[in-house]
Amino acid sequence: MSKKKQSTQEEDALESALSPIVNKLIDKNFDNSGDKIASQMAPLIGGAIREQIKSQKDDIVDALYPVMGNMISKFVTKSLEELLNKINEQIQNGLSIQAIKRKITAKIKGVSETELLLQESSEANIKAVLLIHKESGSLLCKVEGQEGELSDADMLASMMSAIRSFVNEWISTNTIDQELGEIEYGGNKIIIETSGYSYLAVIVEGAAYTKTYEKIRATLSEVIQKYGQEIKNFQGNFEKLNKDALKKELQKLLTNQQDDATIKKKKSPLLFLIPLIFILYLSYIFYEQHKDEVLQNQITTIIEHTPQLIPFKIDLNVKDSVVTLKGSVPFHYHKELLDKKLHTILKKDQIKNELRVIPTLTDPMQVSANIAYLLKGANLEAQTKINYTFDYNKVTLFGTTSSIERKVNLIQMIKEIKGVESVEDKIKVLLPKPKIDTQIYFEKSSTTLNNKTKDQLKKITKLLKKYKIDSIIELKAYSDMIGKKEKNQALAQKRIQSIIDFLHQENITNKIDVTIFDTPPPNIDPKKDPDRARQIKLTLKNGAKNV
Amino acid sequence: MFSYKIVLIGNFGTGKTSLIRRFVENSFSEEYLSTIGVSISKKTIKNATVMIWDIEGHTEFKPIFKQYLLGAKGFIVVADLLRPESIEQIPQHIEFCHNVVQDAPVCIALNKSDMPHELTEDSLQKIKQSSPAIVEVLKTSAKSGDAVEELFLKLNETICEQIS
Repeated sequence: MSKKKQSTQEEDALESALSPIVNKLIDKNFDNSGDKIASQMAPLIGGAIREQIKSQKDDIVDALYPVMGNMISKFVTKSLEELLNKINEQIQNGLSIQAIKRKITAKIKGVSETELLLQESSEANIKAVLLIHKESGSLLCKVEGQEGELSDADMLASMMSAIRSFVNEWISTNTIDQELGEIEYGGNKIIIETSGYSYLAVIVEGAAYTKTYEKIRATLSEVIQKYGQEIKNFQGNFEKLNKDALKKELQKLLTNQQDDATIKKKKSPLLFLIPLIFILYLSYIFYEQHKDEVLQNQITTIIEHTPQLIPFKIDLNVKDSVVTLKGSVPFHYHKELLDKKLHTILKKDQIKNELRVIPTLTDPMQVSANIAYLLKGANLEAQTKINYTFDYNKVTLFGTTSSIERKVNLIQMIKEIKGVESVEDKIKVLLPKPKIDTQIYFEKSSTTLNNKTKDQLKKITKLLKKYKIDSIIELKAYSDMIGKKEKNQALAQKRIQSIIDFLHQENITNKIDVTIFDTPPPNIDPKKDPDRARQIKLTLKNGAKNV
Repeated sequence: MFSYKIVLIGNFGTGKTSLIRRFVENSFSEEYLSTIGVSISKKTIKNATVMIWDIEGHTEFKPIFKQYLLGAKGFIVVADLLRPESIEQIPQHIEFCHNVVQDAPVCIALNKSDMPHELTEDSLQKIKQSSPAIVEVLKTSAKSGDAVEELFLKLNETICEQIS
């Protein structure tokens, strides 16, 4: 027991004595031969990690997560960013025909539009196309994109053929008629499309879609159709092969792709459609206008060749092949005639016949005769003598008639004659001559007017005013032959003055002629009837007055 | 411009790969590396691009893939001067080639001529007469380069004449 204890103590002592030296040695060793230690440790570390993963998987995951997580998220973010950019570009193209096509395709196929958009976003990028002779693996022709120049296409062609051969040989033991379709490496793939004597190896970067395969197939079938025989007979001599023509065919695969890219960059085709539609619209308008012009000329010719219609002013308006006729004709016959003529070149709904039937046609001679006839009748009336002048559709009447009423009636009648537009009135109305012949009697030796004589004079002044008579008033004084001659004359003078004064009172301004006789009035015997002889006779010098 | 394919065929370890390496790269290695599947080299001779297919050596257990021979314009059958059985099998190889490509020209390379061997001139003539398709029978040495170029050039000449 004590022996054992002793040995333990010795070990401890040894350990404490050696540990500084050993540590120092290890440090020194690390400094001097780190590389050697690393190479010695490497296999151990591998094993250790494997062991650790086996037992403590979560620890390792936790330890690596910060590094791996960041790396992965960075990669994913970058990829998504690129994808987003591409999709954004597609969306920005907006209302392009392609977008509409995509929408329709989505509906038909029942696939979401996003899926199609994703497909379009990841357009296959064809780097190179090789046409390879199937049996020998000879490279018949190759085209390369700008980015990817193949280092040794001949070798690639042969190797591809070798791989194909290997796979085909291996497969043929299992199944019949199967071909190697494609080889993938990294982010690229080689699509193999085989025909009878040759095959296409298309090197594609990124994903390839149905469209890509279709394009490849189409190209190969084109090549086979055109150069199948040459390829079949190819023995290794390129002089017997039209390499340039083949190259052109293959180039289509690359150019198509480039075209696709350029088309994508182009603005929406609708932008080009708008001016095109505009031009078409303009041409349509011009065409329509031209058509209308032709129609208008046709109709004008028709009217000009219809003698019945020539005298009338008919307005034509042709728009959108519809004719609108305006103007006036004297009879329905003319309107219907024009309708009938137009129906030979136009349909019913193409004619808008708005012609008005107005019997405006009046013969001036006829109008004049009518007026003359009317006046002849009117002139039969007493105190009426009217003449006229007729200057087409304007009548001037002059002459005299006996009443205003008659004149107004006559003018109205003349206005009603067709062809008379206006009537100028120069007719004078002659009024009947009022008969004024009054004897005014005075009592013996009196010079004043009594009520009776005043009433008499009032009646006269009323007449004068009513007919606006401005004739000279004649006053003639007669004597009763009683008394002295001088005294009677003085009395007569006073009596006349009384009458004149009264007339003036009544605002009569007519001129007055006075004659004093020293004789009795004719046919009156002053001895038998002195009161009647003693009179003053009032008459008008001129009986008529124009009103 | 020509472009064609030739195939080297023969028992394993006869030196097919070494012959090609000598011809294409003008180098030689003593190390033996068995070819698995197929190895292809390219060499331009005058105006012809020759794709040289080096296929897996033939053994009893491993038949040659016929597919590799398809479309070849000529064959080089390689035998080892030191291994008589490899020489004996030359006719079988030729027959195999002609099964795939009828009447294709064949050159025979009796390789490893730098080593002491016992092949007589008679035997050599005998081999030559064994098939009308044989263009040339040459003792070659990939190691020293003896007759290697001559071998390929002779075949090239024949093929170019045929296809032009």
